Amino acid sequence: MEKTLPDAQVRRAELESLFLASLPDIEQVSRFIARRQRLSASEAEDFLSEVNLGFIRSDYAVLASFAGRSSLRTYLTTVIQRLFLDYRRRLWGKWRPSAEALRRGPLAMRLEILLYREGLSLDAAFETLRTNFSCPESREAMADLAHALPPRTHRRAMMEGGEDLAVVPAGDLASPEVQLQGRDTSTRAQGLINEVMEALNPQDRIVLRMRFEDGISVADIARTLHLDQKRLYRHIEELLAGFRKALEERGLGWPEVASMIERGHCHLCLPPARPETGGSRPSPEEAQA
Amino acid sequence: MLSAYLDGKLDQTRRGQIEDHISRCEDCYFVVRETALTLTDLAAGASDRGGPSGPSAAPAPGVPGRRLRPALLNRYLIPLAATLVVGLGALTLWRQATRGGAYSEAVRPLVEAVGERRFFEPRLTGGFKFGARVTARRSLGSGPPAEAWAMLAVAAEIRDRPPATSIAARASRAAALLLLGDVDQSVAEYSRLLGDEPASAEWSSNLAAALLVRASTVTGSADRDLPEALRLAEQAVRLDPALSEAGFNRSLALKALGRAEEARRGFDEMARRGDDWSAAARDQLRDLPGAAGPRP
Repeated sequence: MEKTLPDAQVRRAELESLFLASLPDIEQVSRFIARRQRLSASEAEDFLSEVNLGFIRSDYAVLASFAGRSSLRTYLTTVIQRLFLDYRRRLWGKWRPSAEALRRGPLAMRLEILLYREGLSLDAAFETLRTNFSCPESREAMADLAHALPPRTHRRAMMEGGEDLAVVPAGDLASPEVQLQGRDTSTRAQGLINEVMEALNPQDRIVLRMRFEDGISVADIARTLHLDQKRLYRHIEELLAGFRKALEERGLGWPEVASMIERGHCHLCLPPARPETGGSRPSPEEAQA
Repeated sequence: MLSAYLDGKLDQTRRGQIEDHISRCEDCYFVVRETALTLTDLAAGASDRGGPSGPSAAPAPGVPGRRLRPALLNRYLIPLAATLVVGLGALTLWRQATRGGAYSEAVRPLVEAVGERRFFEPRLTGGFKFGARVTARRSLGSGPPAEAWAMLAVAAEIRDRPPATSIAARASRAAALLLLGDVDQSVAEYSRLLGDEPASAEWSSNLAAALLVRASTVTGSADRDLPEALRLAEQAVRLDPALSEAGFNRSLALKALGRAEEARRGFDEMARRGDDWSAAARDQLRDLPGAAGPRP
C-alpha cells in the first residue's frame, strides 16, 4: 500500500506531462476537425473545451490506454474524432446532413436540420436562425438556400421498412405529388440497396460507401484501407458493375439510384451489426479503444 | 485498435475483423474515415505546425523514450532530415506551381478584363495587377463606369457557367462574384474552398480579401468580418510567407482594425522591397494616421 500511492502519483504526473506536451497537437487536430466539420467559431471553441475536458475528466485514462500500437498522433486523432461524434450528437442528435447541405456549409446544414429534422416551416426556420444564431441573411437568400437543398424523407422511417414515412415539411419547397412519387421509388430503392450492401464483403461495403455516398477520392480510400490504388480503381469498376447488375435484376437502374443518393433520398447505409456468434471478432468497445 | 488499423499495424486476420466491424458500425466507420482524412490533410499542411515535436514523437506512457547517440544523429539523421526537408520543399513548390497554374489559367480571362485597374483594395491571388482605382458599384441614376463594363461582362459569364467541380474553376468563380459585388456568395464560395483545402494559403488569403471587402461595403459586418479576415490573412502568411497578397491583406486588416502601428510595420517592409508591391504599400502608408511615408 505504501508503495502503491507514490506509484499512482508518479503515473499520474507522467500522464499529465504527456497531456501537456501533446496539448498543442490536440488543439491543432481539434481545430482542424472543427473547421472540417464546419463548426461556427463559438462551437469550435466549445468543442475545444470539451476535448480538453474529455482528457482531463478521466484523469488522463485515455492517454493511459495508449499502448503504442499506433503512433500517438493517430491515436489522439481517433480519440478526438470520437469526442467530436459525442459533441455533435449532443448538438444535433443523430442526424446526417445531405451531401448538398455539406457542400453549402454550416448555414445550410443548420437550415436542413430545422426544416427536415425539426419539421419547421421555412418562415419558422428563418426566424429561428435570425433569433438563435444571429443569422444576417435575408428571407429571400434563405428561401434560395432551402430550394437548393434536396427534399428529404425521414431516414429512420425509410430504414425501418418505409411504412410510416415522415412528410417533408415546408410546403413551399416541393409539391405533394412530387414528394409522393419520389417517396415510393426511394423507399423501394433503399430496401434493395440495403439487400445488396448486406451481401457484399465488409471491405467492399466500406469502399462503396466511401466512394459513392461520401464522395471520397479513390486515392484517399486506398490510403485509408491500405490498398493498392491502381487495383482499387479496377476493383471499384467491378464492384459498381456488380452493384448495377444486382439492382437491375431487381428492376432499378443505377442512374436513378445514383441520383437518389446524390440528392439524399437514398443512402448506402451500413447494415446493422449481426448478432454475435462468438469467435474473435472485436467488441465495439475493443474496436474503439 | 482503430488507430492501429489506420497505421497498418494489424495482421490480416485482425484487419478483417476490424473491417467487418466498421462496415456495420456507423460511428466507427465515421471515426476511421475522418481520422484518415484528417491525418492526410494535416500531413499536407504539416509545414504550418509549430514546435519541434508532434504527438507521434512522444513515447507511449510507460514506454521509456530512447536517447539517440550523437554520432548516429550527426552521421545519418541530420543528412536524412535535410534531404527530406529539401525534397518536401521541392514537392510543395511543385504542387503549388501545378495548382497555381490551373487557377491562373481559369482566372486569366478575368485578370485580363480587369487589366491595370483595381476595384477594391484587398488583394486577390491569380495575377491581378491592381492598378488605378475604379468603382464598379452600380448607383442610382448612373451605371458603372465605362471601363468596368468589360470586367463585369467577363465576371458574369464566369458566374453563370454550369456548376464548377474543379478547385480552379470554383476559385475563379469566387473571384468573379467578388468583382460583381456579390460579396456574400464570394465569401461562401471561398469558405467552401478553404473547407476542402484547409492548408491552402491562397484560399485563406482570398477569403480574407473577400471579408475585408464585405467589412468595408456592408453596414454592420465589420465587427465580425475584420477579426476573421485578420486571422485568415495571418494563417495565409504562416502557410506561405512568400505570398505577397496575404501580407498585404494582413496589413489592410490591421489598419481597418485600428492597429496602425502593426499595419505600418507590414506596409513598411513591403515598401522597402522595391518590387511591384512597394508603390501600393507606400500609398497605404500615406493613408495611415500621422504617417509621412515609409520609415527609415
